[in-house]
Amino acid sequence: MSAREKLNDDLILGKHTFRTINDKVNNVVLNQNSHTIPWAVCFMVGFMLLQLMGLVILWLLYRGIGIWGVNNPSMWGWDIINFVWWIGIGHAGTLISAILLLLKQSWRNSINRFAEAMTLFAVACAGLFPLLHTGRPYMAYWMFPYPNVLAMTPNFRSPLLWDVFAISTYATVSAVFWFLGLIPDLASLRDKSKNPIFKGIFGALAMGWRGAASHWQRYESAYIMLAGLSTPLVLSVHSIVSFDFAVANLPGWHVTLFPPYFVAGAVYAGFAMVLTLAIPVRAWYNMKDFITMRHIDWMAKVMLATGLIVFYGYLCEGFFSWYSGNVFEIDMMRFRMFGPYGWAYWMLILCNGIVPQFLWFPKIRTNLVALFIICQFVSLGMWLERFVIITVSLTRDFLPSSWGYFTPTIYDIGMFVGTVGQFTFLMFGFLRVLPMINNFEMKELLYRMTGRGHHHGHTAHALEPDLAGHTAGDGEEH
Amino acid sequence: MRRFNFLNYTDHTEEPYAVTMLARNPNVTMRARGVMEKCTYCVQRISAARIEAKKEGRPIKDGEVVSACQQACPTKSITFGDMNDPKSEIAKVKKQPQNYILLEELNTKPRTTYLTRLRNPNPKLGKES
Ligand code: SF4
Repeated sequence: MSAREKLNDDLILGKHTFRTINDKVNNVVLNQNSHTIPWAVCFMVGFMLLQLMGLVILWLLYRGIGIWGVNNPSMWGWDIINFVWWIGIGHAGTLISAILLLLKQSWRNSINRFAEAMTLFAVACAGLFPLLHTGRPYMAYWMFPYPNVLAMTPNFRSPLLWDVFAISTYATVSAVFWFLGLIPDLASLRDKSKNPIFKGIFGALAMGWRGAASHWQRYESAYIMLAGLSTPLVLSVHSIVSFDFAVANLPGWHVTLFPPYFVAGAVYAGFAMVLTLAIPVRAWYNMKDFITMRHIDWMAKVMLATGLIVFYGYLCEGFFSWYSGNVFEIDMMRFRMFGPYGWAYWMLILCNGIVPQFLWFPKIRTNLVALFIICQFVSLGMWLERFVIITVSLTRDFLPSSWGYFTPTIYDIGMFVGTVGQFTFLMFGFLRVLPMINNFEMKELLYRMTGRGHHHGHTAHALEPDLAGHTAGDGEEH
Repeated sequence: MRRFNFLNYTDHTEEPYAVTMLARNPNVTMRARGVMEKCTYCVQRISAARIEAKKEGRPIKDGEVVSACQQACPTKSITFGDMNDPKSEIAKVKKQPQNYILLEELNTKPRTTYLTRLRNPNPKLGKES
């Protein structure tokens, strides 16, 4: 099979019926033997790193955030870099679940569930950083405008406060959206599970779902409504995160380009993370029929497109700092390229500018090893982007008297790998207890692919002309 | 100027804590780790003066509020007062030609402004220092 043929894979491969899809997806949860050594290794390593993070946080609460490398000019160190990085990673999930739903892209069906889970877990990791960075996390509720006797209201002109609202809205809507989408699948798990404890838990979570037409009707309208709510969030959350920088009056930060370029970067990093997870997981759980090469190819293409936008952003930053004629802006660009952190800038250009260009080649997009490696470059590149933006601007501002240097400590590193551990731990925990693929949407997709959806006037065929001839499964057992 | 208490610099577990507190500044609480240090323009002194003025039913007089740094400065280089009152000492100082705002072009409108050092531009009167 040549590289190009794989790109025309159907969205569901193999001979599948409704029952085989159902069994395959539910089995991962119901048959605990389906989890093998890779699962155990990932889960354990994640759990260990999570414990490490717990230790770092304990020590941090006791000593203060000075145990991080943050210092006086460089008030925002790795903590804010990691925060922006994790928030960005979450964006792919929302894009896949909301925007692709509204655009009726049926290729979202097999990847949306775990992409949404990824969003939630990434937000959970992200939220930790600003929370701890406030210095007194136990006073974090002061950030909300609640009535109090301290005569204290948060400053609504501060983008840091906008962040609080943007992130908490994002976390809430994502969680509700994810849970709503799970309900029909939870009901299916309830019906299939033999263990009474599982049955009880899934039954409680399914909230009395019987699959009645009225249920489906309400479900569909609620789901579309939440998708509508999430769609602006894809754009707004990272725009607001970028305002943390763009609203400040610092060279290198005070840029109107930031919101679109941050959003593109977020989707870019997010798809890299979806692929990083999807590539091994589809092999370990043998989900290649559902997450086909075509899915992977399209995700790689989204990554390429957003990567080009990000790279264009870098070029614009360079051009406009020169074009502004402003001595501080010009010097900022010089410091970025040739200053003490020059290595980070050039690594960034390599990771986000040059390496993704390989994605133009179908051969590379279908080569899973190469793609996986490129995704790691992208993740590193997006991390470095925030490093360059935050560290260089803070340590090289207007007055040379307030210049400085930032060096991370072991606690910075511990916190970062700790959140990576938390993410892995939660992700693999999720794979084990909840269906990682949207079971009922896959069955619906199969229904449409086998040509039974014609009378609905559904658009799947118009979008996917090559699906029409598909003959897999007839809906009954073979 | 702001500084952050990255660590617990004034250790409240150290024994004569009450003494340390009195030695530093009895009027305000000591900031623990995780709190910003920022000039408050001696808000405790402003409040005290405001309360006194209210009791006597008059506006705060110019020069009634003396900030701690102003009080401590041996060369009297710090002036503090009501900028909105054109007759106040601070308004007069701010009108002087050597008054300048640090990084004024950023338009952050800081209240604290500075006076440039007085130099002697006339070579006949001696070397510039
Ligand atoms: S002593 Fe001076 S610097 Fe300190 S708070 Fe008072 S006015 Fe500000």
